[in-house]
Amino acid sequence: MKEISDEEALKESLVHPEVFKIIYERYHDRIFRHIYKLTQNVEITKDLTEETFYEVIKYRETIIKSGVPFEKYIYRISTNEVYKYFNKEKKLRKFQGKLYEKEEIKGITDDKSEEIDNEKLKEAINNLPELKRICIIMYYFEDKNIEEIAVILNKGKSTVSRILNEARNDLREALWEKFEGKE
Amino acid sequence: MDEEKLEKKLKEIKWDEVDNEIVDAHREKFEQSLLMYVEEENRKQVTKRKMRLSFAFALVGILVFTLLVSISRFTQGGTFEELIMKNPTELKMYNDIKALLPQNSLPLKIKINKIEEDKNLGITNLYVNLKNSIVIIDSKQRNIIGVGFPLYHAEQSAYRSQIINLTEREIEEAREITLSNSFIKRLSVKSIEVENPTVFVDSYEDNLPYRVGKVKVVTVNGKVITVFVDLTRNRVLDITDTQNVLGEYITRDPEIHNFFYDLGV
Repeated sequence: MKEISDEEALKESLVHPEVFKIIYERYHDRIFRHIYKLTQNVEITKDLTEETFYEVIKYRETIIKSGVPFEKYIYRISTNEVYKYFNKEKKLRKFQGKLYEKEEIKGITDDKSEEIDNEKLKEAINNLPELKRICIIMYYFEDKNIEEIAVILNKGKSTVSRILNEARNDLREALWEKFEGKE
Repeated sequence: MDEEKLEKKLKEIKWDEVDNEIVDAHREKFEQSLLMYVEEENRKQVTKRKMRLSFAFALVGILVFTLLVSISRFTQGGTFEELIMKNPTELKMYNDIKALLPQNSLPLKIKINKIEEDKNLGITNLYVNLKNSIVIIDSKQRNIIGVGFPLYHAEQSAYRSQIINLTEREIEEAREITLSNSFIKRLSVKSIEVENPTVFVDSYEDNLPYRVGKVKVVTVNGKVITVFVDLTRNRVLDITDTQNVLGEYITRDPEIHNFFYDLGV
């Protein structure tokens, strides 16, 4: 039996809701993992995964009409949900009067060891501003290329390249002191 | 730290992955509620689509109706305008009016301002852009049966038709037409008197027969109403009520009010 495509399943689900299960089964795990990589928090990942699927259901007709492959669209929605969440978090922190440490990338100077370890790099990545963090994670840890990231973020390829470069510079700066000492 | 080292490090690093168990548990737990949500959302979409469709139908209906009315009005207006402009009697009349106007006045252009059909009388009144000027059309035959000013102005107007005597038979007909008029029937009539000589044959053409009888209706209070009767087509053309005999009827009865309003009384 010929496998039904994502777009066909999406269209069919407008009449037969149970067909949406095909989409759900195909994408749940991937989206869950994608969101988790970006947030590193299980509870937030659960919420955002659910939000992603609700959005997909709500905008099925728009997605079908857009002509963008569904896979790219669902990644775009989920990444957008993460981005929205990060922004909300940032505002909340500001509102609570706390310094949002992630805003400024701090140099990791308190490490006594000479080698920069993975944990410090991870910390530096997590301290990157939202968009840069998302780009770095998708590029290095989800093996997505610049073109794919551009589609997901709905941005130009050159913009994504620029963001990645800036993110790498920020990381270098954050880790600079450590390595400078060594070198 | 140089670029290469960072790049290498970024490629080496292992980013935290979520446990499969957590993913599986969430997938199973969320599935049912999601499918229910799909069902609910589909229902909402159907309702929304139905509403949009009804709205579109209503809109199209209104547009079609407006279009039809406009076309009908336009066609009707065009037909009547043609009727007036091509009719030698009318042209003659307006030429006469024109001749009476001062030399330096603006050119006279006939325009229909309002069209009103009186289904009871089977006539259509065309209100034209000349003071008090109405052209009365036979609604069915699409002929001009009344010309120029309302008939009660005829005697004083620049446009005047010839006066002839009615025959005995015509006098009787004029009485009958007046008596059968629904508005006159509502009055307490004391007497009905057909004036003779009284007829306005306001046609310059022999091929436009138009004989009008002037009937004086006296009420029990001694007040007078003048009824102009079209003897050629057995119908009341105009009623004048200079003494406002019908005032109380007019205020009480919207149908009468409209009738007189239409006639410009």
